[in-house]
Amino acid sequence: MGWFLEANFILIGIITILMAFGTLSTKKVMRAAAFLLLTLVGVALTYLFLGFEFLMGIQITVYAGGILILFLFSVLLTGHEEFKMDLEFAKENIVQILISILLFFTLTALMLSIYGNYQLTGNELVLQAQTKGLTQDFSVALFSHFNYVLPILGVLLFSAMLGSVKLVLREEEL
Amino acid sequence: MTAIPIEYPLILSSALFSLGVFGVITQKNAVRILIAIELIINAANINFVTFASYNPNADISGWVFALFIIAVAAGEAAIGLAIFINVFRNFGEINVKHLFTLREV
Amino acid sequence: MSEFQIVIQSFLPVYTLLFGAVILLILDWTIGKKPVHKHIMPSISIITLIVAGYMVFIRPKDPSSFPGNPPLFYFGEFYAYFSLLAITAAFVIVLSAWKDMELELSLGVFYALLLIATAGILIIAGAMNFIPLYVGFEVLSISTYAMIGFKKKSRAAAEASIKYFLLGALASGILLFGISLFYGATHSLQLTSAVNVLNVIGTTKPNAYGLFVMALLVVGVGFKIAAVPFHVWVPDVYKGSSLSVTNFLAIGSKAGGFAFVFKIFLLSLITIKSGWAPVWAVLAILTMIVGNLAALPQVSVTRILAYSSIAHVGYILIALVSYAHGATEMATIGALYHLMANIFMKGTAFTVVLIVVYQTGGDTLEHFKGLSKRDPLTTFFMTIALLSLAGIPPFAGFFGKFFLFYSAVLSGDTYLAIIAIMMSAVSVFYYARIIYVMYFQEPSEANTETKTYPRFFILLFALTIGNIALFFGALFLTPQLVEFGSKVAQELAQFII
Repeated sequence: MGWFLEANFILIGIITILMAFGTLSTKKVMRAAAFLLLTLVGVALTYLFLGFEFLMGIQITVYAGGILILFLFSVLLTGHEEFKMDLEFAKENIVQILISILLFFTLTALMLSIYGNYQLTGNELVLQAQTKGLTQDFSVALFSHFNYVLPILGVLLFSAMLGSVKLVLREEEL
Repeated sequence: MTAIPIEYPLILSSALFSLGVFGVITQKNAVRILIAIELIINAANINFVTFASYNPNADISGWVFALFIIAVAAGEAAIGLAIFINVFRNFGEINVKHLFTLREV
Repeated sequence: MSEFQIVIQSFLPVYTLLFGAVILLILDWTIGKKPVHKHIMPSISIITLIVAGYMVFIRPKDPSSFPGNPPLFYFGEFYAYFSLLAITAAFVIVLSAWKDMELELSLGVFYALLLIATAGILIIAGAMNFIPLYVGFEVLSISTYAMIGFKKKSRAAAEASIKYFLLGALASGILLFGISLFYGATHSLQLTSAVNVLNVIGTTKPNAYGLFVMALLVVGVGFKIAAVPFHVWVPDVYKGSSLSVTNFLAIGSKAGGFAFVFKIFLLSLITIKSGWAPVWAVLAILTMIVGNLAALPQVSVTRILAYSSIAHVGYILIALVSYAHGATEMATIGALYHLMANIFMKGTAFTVVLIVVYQTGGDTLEHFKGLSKRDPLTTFFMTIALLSLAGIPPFAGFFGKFFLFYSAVLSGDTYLAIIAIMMSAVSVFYYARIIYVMYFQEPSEANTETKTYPRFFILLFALTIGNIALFFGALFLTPQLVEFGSKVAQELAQFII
């Protein structure tokens, strides 16, 4: 059973990375947004493997459903420009490509060096989920320990709403 | 049922982070830069969920933070896209390479 | 007191600010079209700020009584001081925006955003957990993005807002990734948890992983406080946004950014201070040198002040280094004092630039020519602000720099103090150039406008009095100041187990 899960996770991970690369390399901005949708869904599936099915739902509804619509609208409203990732692009941006590859290997090596031989009891925790339900733990934490932080999140969304409405709304000349 | 090894999601998150940084330093269209930043935020989110799921102290505040980050990303995207539309109305494009007027003042 | 009462009382300043914001919005939707609204909105903001400032004083006396185990907030002296900084800064912005913004539509939204940004600084100053800390930080950032782009017809403001937004969003993404790695190492999002789990990021010296976490956090906060080499946005954004918002970036947002930096580096990462102290030392030196040297050839006074504000970030960063090297009390006093002095100096300077822009239509040195003949009082206030920025007694900037440099000497980083003094000497050149132009050059034919604005006069007068009072306060009330500084330092240190 374990190998089946792992194979699935690896498959989804590879697809997610390919889609993320697609967002950056595709020709049209609209397609980049579509690739972002697939990336977000891939990340959402990752949460399922990590035992947090509730965030998968949130990720798909809020992120892939809500935020992505904002992106689509902004692409529609700001016009398109073509972008090509070809050999010329690679030549121009050779330093950036090398930096990114170096960053990836450094980061992976660092994280694996710390967590690779680090004995964690994650298995037990995820096993608990079968009986108890981790979403319950999560909501207890959210509404008991963090209940004074939730209103601040409301303030944040309130200010974002105020600002974006003011910036987008067309006003008649004074 | 056994959980997947902790290495897998960590490799995924570092790949997404590197791709996001790569996108930010190479792209010129503002919407594409914001999409690359979303990749970075998702990488951080995977990290939070992973570290919370495998936490030996059973401290799940990482999950709570992941939820908050999604909401913050929504707010940030909303204000960012409003700014892009505003810039587009003023300049006719949102290519950051061409926004140079302030340098000359 | 019950738990609920304690929570309500602790959050009262934040609630007051939000209540004021909601009132402003309701007024904006009802009487927003009438001409009188341009006086009503700032007046209500001022009343809200005064009430909020009063609420900070009557918060519960025992800050550790906040519920939750471990508590998410701590409303102690550090919180009180930074709240007062934020509220004073917002006060200055309201008075300067009163004139600056009066032609804009939906003014209520602008002041509501300003109050919400102030509430964000209060949340940063009180947070003891990464979740409220980050959310408060984003409240501040998002309101600031909207405020910069508020003049929608202005191309410069639009450009400034997109630059600030893209860099700010990138910085917050990188910061988040750093926090996530930190969480993986310490298994807890509590700011002070690192002390219990030392093995992953390094016990006294950071290992490679700890260094990487530290680098991500330094990059993330470096953008916010504009330390070199993350300062490229500063001159453009300061120049592009309308001057009252520039004022907020230079005094309010800066105070919030430094509260954030102190929370992260003096609480969370204090165990690996031997790792970050040299990094901040290098950044401080770079910031002081680049800020001061880049200001020399500028002709736009806004840009000169923008670079000088970068240089002042460098001076405050000295406090971080000397705190790590043992001079905790003097470093705390220096940083807190200089942030307050910064409000008086930068607030005055940017307000005067605003007046000159209104009188002559531009902010270059050309427009400042002969200002003393046209408007002697404004010139006088500007001279005091510039002398204070240069660090000349009897103005507050002197003691700000003195405490910071003295803390560097106390902690054994004398090279930092020497470089800082040298760079302060360089800074005298460009401040003196503005003063010279104002007093000893003839105004050009076009600039003979002498209109003065009484509201600005009140603001400038109050700021200058505050500036001088802060100097004499430091001179005569030194024991009390030292006592307060050590109180804050102890409060920060009490969390380190």
